[in-house]
Amino acid sequence: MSLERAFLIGAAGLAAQRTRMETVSSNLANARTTRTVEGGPYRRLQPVFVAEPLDGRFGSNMRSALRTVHVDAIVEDPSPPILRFEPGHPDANADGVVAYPNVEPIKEMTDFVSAARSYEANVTVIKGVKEMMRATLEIIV
Amino acid sequence: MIQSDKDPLLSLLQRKLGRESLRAAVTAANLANVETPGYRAQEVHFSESLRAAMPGELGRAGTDTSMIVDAPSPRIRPDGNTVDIDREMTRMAVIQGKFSTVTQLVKKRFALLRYAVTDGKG
Repeated sequence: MSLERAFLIGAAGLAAQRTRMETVSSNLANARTTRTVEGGPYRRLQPVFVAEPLDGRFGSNMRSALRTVHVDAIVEDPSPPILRFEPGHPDANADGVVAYPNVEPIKEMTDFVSAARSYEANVTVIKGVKEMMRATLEIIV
Repeated sequence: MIQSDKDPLLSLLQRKLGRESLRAAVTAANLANVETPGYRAQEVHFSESLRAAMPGELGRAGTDTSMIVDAPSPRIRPDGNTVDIDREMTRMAVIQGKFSTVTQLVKKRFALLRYAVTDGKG
């Protein structure tokens, strides 16, 4: 049944947006982290979304045209760290410069709002489909 | 025994429900991919091949073929994505409305049948 597919896709959308919120919260929490296990300051993380054909098990070509979403990878932002002159900081280099993460809190906040909106859109889809399923069940009452 | 393929109205309504659920799935896909770079918004096109439309047959002989195609989009975001979140949300609301209209009609159809089989007492 098609409704089930809409449900699955909506759920995939929720998962993707949740991952995005997780990377945003990780970035915000580590906005001032100068030490990581890999060495150097924390690097901003960003999820990479990819549109994937919905499982082919439903048969026909027509259905595989439907794309679900999936987080392909979480990659590090390659932009350079933010340098600040803080000679007193234990992680300052010989010139007194500290490399801070390449995280811009304002950018992260707007990203968070955008992720929350997209999440809501997917919630609306799921609610709508649930309502449609309920309407179908009502036929037999 | 009431078979939907013997009842032209029921088969028509059934097909309509199928169409709307496919539309819902496509809208769900568009909304799930609202942040996917390069994703093209999709829409469904239905075409009917009505076998020499016989009067009173209500499109019973029609077979439903559908095609999912890229939706024409007036603007493309810099990341190549063409999903318009407002359009998709509106579409979802419309689909829901249509769907519940059709389920109500199916319900009424069965109520009529019940009325008939219970000799007007149902």
